[in-house]
Amino acid sequence: MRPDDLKYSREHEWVRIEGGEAVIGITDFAADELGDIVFLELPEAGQMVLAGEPLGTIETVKAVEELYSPLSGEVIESNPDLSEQPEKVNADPYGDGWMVRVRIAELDENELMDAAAYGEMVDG
Amino acid sequence: MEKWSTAEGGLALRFDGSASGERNMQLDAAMLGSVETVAAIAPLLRFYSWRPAAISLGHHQDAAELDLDRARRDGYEVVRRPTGGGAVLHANELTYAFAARWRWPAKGRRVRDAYGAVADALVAALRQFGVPAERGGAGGHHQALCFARAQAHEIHVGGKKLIGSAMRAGRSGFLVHGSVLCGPEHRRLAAYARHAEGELTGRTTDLVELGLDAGEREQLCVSIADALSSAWSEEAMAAE
Repeated sequence: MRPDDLKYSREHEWVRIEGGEAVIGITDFAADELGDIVFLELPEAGQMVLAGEPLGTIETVKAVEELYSPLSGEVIESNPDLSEQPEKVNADPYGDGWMVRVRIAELDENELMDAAAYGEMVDG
Repeated sequence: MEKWSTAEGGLALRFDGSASGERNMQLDAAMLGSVETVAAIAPLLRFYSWRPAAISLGHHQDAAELDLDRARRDGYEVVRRPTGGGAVLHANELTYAFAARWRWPAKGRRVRDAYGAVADALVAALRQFGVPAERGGAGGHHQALCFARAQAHEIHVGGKKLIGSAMRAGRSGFLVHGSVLCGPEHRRLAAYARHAEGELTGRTTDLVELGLDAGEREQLCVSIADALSSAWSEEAMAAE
């Protein structure tokens, strides 16, 4: 279920590295733990994000939670479909539910896990 | 934060009087900030009320869902909560804010577990006063008016919503605040909804309707504090 070509953070984000860019989303585990997502607040193009710092917020029925950026860089775009259809994150967290594309400034791959290590962390 | 006193079980407790909505939301946000930054902090519980009566919106809620200009002209302050959910008219209610470190910091599902544990504590406290309170199931959907329907572990009595609550989840801890209804005034909010979800009449109940007098409502606060203190005790956490 979890793609092998992605890297995963302890905060339950995934990262797909495409050259000098990275696509970020949340994992199926996080989407399941959060429940039905009703709102997302994501950064705008041109905004800088910092590794370990808030990237945006996500709201399920009643709970608002921060999203944390797994890397530093400049936002190229946020998924434009999610403002109208946030449920895509629940339905397809690794595909249509992607959240942000970032031009990588700094990425410490030692801070990220492969699918097997992430699976070990969340599934025990 | 000099007003805090230590309740049984180590929980820090504070009874505030009424304040503006803006002030109340600042204090609640400060509580979350404290539990996020201080590792050894005790859980914090604050009771308060609102003056003037205010309408609070959920953090991401579209303000256009309500006619807020008219509400302001009618004398209501309008504030935005740091937490999720729909709008609430805070007039005659017992409001609580509870902030604590996660009970299971290393595990997933902490949002659901903490929200459920707070709900269970509220149910236990209410039942001590003979109120047959129940916890709604998980899940639901966004609704403009918080009190239109009990969802996501919220408390109802015979299907009528008694407590509306919402959470802000942080990295190390969380804030849950909620409104325990004490009268029918909150229902006036339906008049400001642009896309009517129907009247709130018949969908909610309150402590006075349920037969609790002023003394019992005060005592309920102590029972809520005791129940939350137990839920966040070292014994309870060790048993998880």
